[in-house]
Amino acid sequence: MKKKNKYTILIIIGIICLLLVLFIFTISKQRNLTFIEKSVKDISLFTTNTIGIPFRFAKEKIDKKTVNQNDKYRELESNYKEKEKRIKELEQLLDLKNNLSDYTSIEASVINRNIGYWYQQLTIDKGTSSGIKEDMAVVTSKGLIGKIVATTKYYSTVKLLTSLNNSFQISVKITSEDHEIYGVLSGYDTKKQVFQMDGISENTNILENSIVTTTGLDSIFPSGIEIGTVSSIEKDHFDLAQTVFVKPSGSCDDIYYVSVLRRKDS
Amino acid sequence: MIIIISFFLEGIVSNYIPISSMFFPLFTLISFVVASYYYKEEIILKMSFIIGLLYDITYTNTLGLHMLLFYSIVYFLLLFHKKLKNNFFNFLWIGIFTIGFYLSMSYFILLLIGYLEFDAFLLLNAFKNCILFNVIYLLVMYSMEEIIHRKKR
Repeated sequence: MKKKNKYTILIIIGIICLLLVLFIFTISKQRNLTFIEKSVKDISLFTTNTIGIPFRFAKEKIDKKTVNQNDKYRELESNYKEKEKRIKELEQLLDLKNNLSDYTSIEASVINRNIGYWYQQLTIDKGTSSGIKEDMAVVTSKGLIGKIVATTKYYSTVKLLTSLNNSFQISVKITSEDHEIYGVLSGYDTKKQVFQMDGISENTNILENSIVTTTGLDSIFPSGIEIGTVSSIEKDHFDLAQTVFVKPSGSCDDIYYVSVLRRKDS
Repeated sequence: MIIIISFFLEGIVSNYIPISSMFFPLFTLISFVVASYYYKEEIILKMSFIIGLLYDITYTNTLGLHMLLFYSIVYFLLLFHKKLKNNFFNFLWIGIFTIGFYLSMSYFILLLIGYLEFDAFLLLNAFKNCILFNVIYLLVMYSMEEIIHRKKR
């Protein structure tokens, strides 16, 4: 009886270790999903998307009802503001597209956000059948938000910039007065909600509110996409280098539509 | 059924709630708190493993973590339910404990493998963002299951 218990405990420990090893293998490596994983993911997300149709319909109805309840003036005013906002967004997107003449964009809708809490990922409703591949940059009208990390035939997963760490960094430049400062965005401060840029020389003069854009040197993100503006600068403990904090130009919190950038020659 | 509905609902609801808001859904996890009391042990244990696998593949692009976490959480939940009476307050504290256990275990495993960097604020913020909405969901699920099972009796 005692021997049997011993074996049961050993088997349980073995299974736990096996699952943990499997998890470490699947999370730490950028890998292509297997055929089975892709099929399961496609079916499951298709079901979620189908069940979600009444929810989207209800949301649209509620939005319309809110407008009907207001008086005519307010309705006109809100319409005007909405259109103005839309034009501004389109202008920004057009600017972005002009900057990125080597790229075409694939528009997609977000279908779920950051499930599991720690992963900082979005799922979008376009996959390999629309020409999306791993490592493509994902932008909104406000700027860069992340990159594609996994694809199936009809869906893709976007890793958000808010998950920046040692294994996910971006080469950026700060345009300050008449000079440019190059560096790497290496982390995201969740408390202050700013990106962190380490190792800038102490002698470099950087102004607050300078614009931070991608350089294109990391061969993943095209150059010239806005990330944010410099919000503050701090010196390190030894007064040898500066840490620059960058306030994101757009929020990753509430995204419904995104554009995936694809190189024209790919 | 309640687990499968919660699994899909979690994906749908997440799309209408800002990521860092105080209404972060953990519906699949909460459905296990309720289902582990009302349904057969064997079925719930098997379900936790299968739904964990589905959760990993569909939502996180990994394998193993949610299989392990959901299975162990359901195992502990079954032990709790054997010892405790069926009333909402017991469900409430078990629910809060489950959310805390899930968040801290997943955080520490991700920390150990170097996926996340240590930040106590991040963990506290996660508790703050997850408690309220999921306790409301627990209340709804518990009331529904009570009504269904009273009618059956």
